[in-house]
Amino acid sequence: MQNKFGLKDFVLMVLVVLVGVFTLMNIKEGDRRWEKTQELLNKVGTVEQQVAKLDRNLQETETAIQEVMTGIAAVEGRLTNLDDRLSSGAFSVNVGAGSNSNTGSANTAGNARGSWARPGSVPIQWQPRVEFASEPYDMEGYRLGGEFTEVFPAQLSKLTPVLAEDTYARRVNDQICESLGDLDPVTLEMKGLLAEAWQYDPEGYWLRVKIRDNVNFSDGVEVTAEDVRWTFHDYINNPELETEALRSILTSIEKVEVISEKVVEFTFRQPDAYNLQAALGFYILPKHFYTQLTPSQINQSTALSMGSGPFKLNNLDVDNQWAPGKDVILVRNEQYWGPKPAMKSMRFKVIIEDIARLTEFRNGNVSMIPPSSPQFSKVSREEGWDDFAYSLNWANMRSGYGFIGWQCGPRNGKLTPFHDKRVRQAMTLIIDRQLIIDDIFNGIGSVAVGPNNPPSPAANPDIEPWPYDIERAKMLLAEAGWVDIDGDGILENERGDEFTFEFTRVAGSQTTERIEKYIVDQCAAVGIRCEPRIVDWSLYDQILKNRDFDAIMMGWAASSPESDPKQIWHTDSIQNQGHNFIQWDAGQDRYIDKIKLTLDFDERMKVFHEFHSLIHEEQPYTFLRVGPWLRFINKDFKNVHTYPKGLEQREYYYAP
Amino acid sequence: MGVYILRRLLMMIPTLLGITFLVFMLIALSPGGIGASMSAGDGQMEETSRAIKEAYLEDRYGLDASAPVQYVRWLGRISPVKFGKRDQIDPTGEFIQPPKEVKVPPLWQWYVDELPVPQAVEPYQWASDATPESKSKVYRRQANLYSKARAKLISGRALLDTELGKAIDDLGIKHARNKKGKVKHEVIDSMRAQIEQTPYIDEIDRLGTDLIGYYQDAVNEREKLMAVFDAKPYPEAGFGILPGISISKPDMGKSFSKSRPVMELISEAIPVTILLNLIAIPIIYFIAIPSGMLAAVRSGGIFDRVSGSFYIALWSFPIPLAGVLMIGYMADNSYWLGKFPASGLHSSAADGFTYLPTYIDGVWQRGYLLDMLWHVVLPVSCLVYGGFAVLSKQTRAAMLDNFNMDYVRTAKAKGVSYKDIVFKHVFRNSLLPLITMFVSIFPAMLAGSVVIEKIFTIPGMGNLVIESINLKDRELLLANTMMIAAVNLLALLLADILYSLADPRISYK
Repeated sequence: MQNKFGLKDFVLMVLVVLVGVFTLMNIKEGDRRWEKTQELLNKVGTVEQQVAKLDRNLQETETAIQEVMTGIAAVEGRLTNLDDRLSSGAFSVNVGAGSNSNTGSANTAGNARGSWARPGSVPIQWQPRVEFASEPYDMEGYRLGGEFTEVFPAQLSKLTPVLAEDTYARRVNDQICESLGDLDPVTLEMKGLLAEAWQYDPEGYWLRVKIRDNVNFSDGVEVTAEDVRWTFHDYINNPELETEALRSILTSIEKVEVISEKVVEFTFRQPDAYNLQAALGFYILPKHFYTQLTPSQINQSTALSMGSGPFKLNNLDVDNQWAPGKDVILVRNEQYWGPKPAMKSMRFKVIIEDIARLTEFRNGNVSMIPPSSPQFSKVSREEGWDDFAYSLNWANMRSGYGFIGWQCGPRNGKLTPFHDKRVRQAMTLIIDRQLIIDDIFNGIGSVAVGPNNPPSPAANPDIEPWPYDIERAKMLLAEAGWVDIDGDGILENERGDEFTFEFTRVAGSQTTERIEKYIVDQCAAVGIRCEPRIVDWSLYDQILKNRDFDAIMMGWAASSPESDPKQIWHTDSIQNQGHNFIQWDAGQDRYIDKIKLTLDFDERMKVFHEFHSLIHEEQPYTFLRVGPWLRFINKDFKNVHTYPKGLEQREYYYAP
Repeated sequence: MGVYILRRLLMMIPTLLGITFLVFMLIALSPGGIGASMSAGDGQMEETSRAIKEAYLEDRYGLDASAPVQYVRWLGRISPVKFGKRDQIDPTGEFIQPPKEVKVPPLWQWYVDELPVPQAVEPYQWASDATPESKSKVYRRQANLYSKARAKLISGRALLDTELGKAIDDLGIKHARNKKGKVKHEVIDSMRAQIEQTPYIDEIDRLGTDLIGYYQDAVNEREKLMAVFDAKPYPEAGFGILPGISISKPDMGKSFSKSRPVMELISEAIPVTILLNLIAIPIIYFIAIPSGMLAAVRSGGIFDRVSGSFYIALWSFPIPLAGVLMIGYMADNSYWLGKFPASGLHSSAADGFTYLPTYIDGVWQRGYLLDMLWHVVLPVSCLVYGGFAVLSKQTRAAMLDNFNMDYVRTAKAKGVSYKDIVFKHVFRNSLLPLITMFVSIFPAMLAGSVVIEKIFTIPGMGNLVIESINLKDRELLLANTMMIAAVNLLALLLADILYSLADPRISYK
């Protein structure tokens, strides 16, 4: 008989396969249930811990109340005493002495509060209570709960703090970790966060910081001075950890010493205006958590991120961390010491394609997206859009600027026409920057005025951007010796060289291409021959290092309201292939060096403003445009404000 | 046959080497070279900080060696046969390698006559009550001391190089820098007299002398660490065959853009890509083959012409455009068709779902599995639509070939029913090319569908490959190339074997 594979065999096989598949699915289902149970058990554990803690707090409060009661009783006793004395008339003589003793006692109280401080006359800078920039509590519809979903346009690969230093990781970690101090969202001044007060040496050599008493990490363990010391010495400065990026910056801090449980002192190598930011601005990490891990476990981790912030990661298990490609979910830190956010959780989702981002936002699946400029200008004008979403467009301290850098020094041993500041001014005058913004950037952005732009306090408020004025440009060029002698439409100098320059821009971007075309046209209009040179971004580094360009278009990102101008502008950076690639040298060093040494904020800003005026006059760059942040946020979230610092998602509440 | 397979397998080794070498050199010779992405974004850093950071990174990943040397080192790590001291494995599964060599400080001849040598260290003896934990602690402490000493040496060298750079720039000596802008010490060595004229000489001398001291510390610490390592604080990896030669599993290394083991990254990405393809390929086959058969049976008929042109039309439609259109019309809720998700593989709420769909207390919940299938509809349709043309045309052509064969005429003459002729004779014989086509699909699965994964934000192999190329991530790139190449070669071999199995006329003797 022929052994044939018939229909019956087929049905049987399908059945067997189905049974197998269902068994597998059941096993998987069981696994998932078990995991859920484990998670629930964990949560119960945390809740129990919190209850215990509340209990303890309650007891403490009770004892405190008792103390206050005894205090009141004592005061009452003294009051009656005073009454007696008043009635007996013994007080009337003693008014002056009384007021004296009053101030005296105030002083002793101050000393008691500042007993941690260094003796001497260095003032203690007490920091205000931590509060939201805009309190949501009394607003209409305020309630707890809800999830805020933010969309990133690029894949996150790592979250572990300090090891991951890209913008997106920082935005997540800013919700999880906290530093000693933070910039005020509105004024952009340094304000205490974990720090209750500090004492800053007027000479700039040391900084003593007192940590707030009630601050704790998300697992309930208190933040101590030892955590601060450990973070700087044994985490950031541990050569076994992949913290190179920060370690090489943090050379200004010589040592961090623990003075007492809550007091820590930084010693700086030399006075520098940026030392305060360096000491106060880094995340303070829990020593007890990270010391359980080996250096290689930390290096290879994806999301071992723990701190004292308002949100936390649920999963901090080495073997079961968040993996790239999944959404990052942060839950509210119920034990947070500061003002607690209203939202239950925050979710960070990656959507690479910009159309998909907008679609998901329209569908209401995500709460906030960064739209592209054309999307922003088109969609925000749609009918009914304003009822659905906030369209935010504002410049903040992280807005960078685009510019054209003119080669002020020699290129391959030969000076370019741009070594003359009149020529550079003329170049700025022939470029209508507002037109570029209106036509090429859909009207989004504003004309950049200098290396620091509003809202940064380092920008000189008196400076207006150069106007668009072709006639004045022609005059300036003629003054600089560039005249059309032979009548061929191209300017020449007295030696007869034609005004020709090479304009370098990056390949593959439509906007830069359109700007290039515009500039070629504008140059032709005044008799300058501009030859575009289009190169791949990866070649830029080499071109800049070798100073091998006449004019180059690029942009600088900003990360803080007053970034140190030394790297880009100082003449030291002309040498050794530094970032003063335009080789500009016009006496700017006296300002830049002074900025670094001026510890007082207002004084420093004055120097910044003078420096800004110099740059404005010299025009080593033609500043093109400040790129604002663009965001769409769903209107279900309330209390949404834009700040010079950025956005404060923790203030939002969900009220559909 | 066995000999043939063995020969092919052995031939694969040089081919693989060739492929990986080519890819590696292409990346290394491109502007910026290997690891270029790591120095990105440091425009606001001070020169010295930048130099130090670069030096740290170069030291950590061996980027200061020339490209061929880096390639050979990589080969040494992935080779299952290892030479030299054996690695050890710590309890977390991390490979502990013997401590790295200390690099000789540049221009040492200017400051000392002889390089300092390490102080001799006694072989390390464990205390009699040493536990694995205490051994590990001793090793860790010494390893930390060594890396601190080494870090000092590295940053010292970076500082010296910065100062030397200033001097040569002052003198205007261009040829003392290489293409990447690093100073060339051998050129500088011959220009001592000129450099002495510059104002930087005092600082250079101070840094150079310091560097010798750092070098002394580093070699001493390394010697101590070596002693501890030789005392074997952890169990050794693999097994030895001869002294100095051992066999252990290949080490693919760590990606330096993500600082995670490459194998981990690949094992996260592969299942996603395979899932997409496992759904897509059967759909292509189940639609393309029957329609190809039908077209062949009624060749020249209306179905043949319509299906043929329709498939060709689909095949010529660009995938990126299709993907964007699908998101625009089939994911946007304001359209009637907009019922599908626009990105990712799971809904936000999917973590709380049961695995299978449930209907409890009147609440329908689609479950994890269904949710995932719902998410892959759009990407899979993107993967599928272009695939029909080739396969159905292949089937049709093979069927038509066989219809004209003598044996078909004979069968017809014998009076075999038309159905039997089509299915039993013609179709069976036309299956051969289809089987081998299936084999060639495997490599494509691994490479992933780059465009589709990007449009729909799916974290699969395609995304990983593109990222490794963009970031010039040496380890990730080489591992990806190696894997895709190996699977390609194996698939070709399998195809050849299948040929000979399916067609007795082909044999490899």
